[in-house]
Amino acid sequence: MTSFDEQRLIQLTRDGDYDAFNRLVVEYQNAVFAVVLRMVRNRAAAEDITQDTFISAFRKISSYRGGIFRAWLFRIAKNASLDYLRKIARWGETSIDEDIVYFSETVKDDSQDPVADALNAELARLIEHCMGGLSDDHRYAMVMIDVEGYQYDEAADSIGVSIGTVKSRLNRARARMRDCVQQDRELLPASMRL
Amino acid sequence: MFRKFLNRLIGRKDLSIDAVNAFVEGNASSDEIQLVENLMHDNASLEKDLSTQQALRSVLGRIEKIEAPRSFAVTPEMVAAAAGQDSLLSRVADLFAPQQRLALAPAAIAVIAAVGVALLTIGDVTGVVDQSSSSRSESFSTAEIFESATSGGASSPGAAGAPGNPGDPGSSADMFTTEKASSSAAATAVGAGVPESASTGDSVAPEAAEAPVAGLADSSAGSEEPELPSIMLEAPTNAISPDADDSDSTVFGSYDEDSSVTQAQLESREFHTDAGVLPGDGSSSIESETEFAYAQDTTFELVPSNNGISLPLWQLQASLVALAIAAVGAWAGLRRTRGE
Repeated sequence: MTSFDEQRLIQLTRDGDYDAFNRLVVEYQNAVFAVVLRMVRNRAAAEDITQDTFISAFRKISSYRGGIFRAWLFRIAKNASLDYLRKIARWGETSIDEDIVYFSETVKDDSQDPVADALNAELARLIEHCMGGLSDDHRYAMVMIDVEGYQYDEAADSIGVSIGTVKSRLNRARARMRDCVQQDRELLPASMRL
Repeated sequence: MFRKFLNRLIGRKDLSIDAVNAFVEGNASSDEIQLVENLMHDNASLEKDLSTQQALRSVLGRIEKIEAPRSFAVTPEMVAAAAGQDSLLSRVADLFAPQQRLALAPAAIAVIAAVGVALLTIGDVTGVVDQSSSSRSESFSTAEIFESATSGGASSPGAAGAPGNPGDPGSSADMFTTEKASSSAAATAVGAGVPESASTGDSVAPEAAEAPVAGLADSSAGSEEPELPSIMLEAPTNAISPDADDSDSTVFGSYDEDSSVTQAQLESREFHTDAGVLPGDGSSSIESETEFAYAQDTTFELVPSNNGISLPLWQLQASLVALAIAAVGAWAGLRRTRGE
């Protein structure tokens, strides 16, 4: 989809065109759902939050004032995710562990070695554990940059902070992740055991 | 640490963070590589840390992308349901939000300020609130005397203003009405400190009805706390009940020279006389008994009404309006921050 198409779809959405907006939904739903799931680590909650994000985006499309549309969606999704995390932290409505999303099935490994697969699964579990220990801001920065591979400017736009702030948060997040994963050194690849 | 703080204070970038991030991501420039190498030279463990971070990043990059499990297409029914589910509070919060905690602060300030302006305006129009300098400087209301008599234990500052000139019979009825209202507020503030017999007009002894101040003297002499104010508050009621229709206790607003209402007003004026505001004849037994009652139980100190901060009503209203405007401005700023 070209940028022009996106702007045209946004304009049509402003006029109340559901079909135009749903084309945007199809374009971005994977990205939004992935970030939300990495943040809240609960699949059912992530689905609800993603749906709410798009509904909210449709209702507030008139307030979109240019910029990266995907980052605007991420901002809505991030706010909804943080609201959810605050709610469960305050009321304990849902235990994250009940439906926790591990990366164990999502770490790519080209080798056909079952031992390597098992190690990767454990490593992914360790990473998931350590990412869960990060603060929301640090985790979001790491998910956006290191996991999902977005650029700094898009991440900064979605958070509403400067690029320098994103870099600083990412730097601290990486340092804390390093400290955390090194507690289980035997699970780490050789390159990480230095 | 101090250098980092200063850099942050003046908004200067910490180049080492940029360099380290770029080095870990593998896209550092030659200058950044040079800077990181210098840092490694100073800190031997940094090389190991950065290697670990590079390996960690490569693992994170190998995580497969997540796909949405279903379509999140939006339908008109979903939008209508979402609009219907919004509670009033959530709508307000949504208007003011980037984050609900921040959102409710300017909203609450704006609402409080607006309500304050409305109440003051209504009070000004209806005459309940009057901060005109003439009324405050020329007379002491019963409530003020009451405040002094109770040594400031329970005061009702908002009820202290008493419109009307005590020397003007035409305004005496209004003054009395205001004093009644003020005194009621003061009596409410006193709460349990006032005996039931003193605060209920119907249960006051008959002699109090015939001679309110005499009853006042008796009750004042018999207790530690001067009960003058409570009796005074109810004196008009007591005084009216024997002579007036027993069913009508709303004659406060009328002016009758022969009635005990006038007696109560006279009593109030005698206080002014004591304070030197009005020349008294000094022959009234009411006055002498009142003085006796006060002399027994309290150190009576009349505080000039212009003591402390006295903000004219219009200035208060203007301040609240400014506060409301500032809160709305904060709300607009928050919405802008959120990008809406």
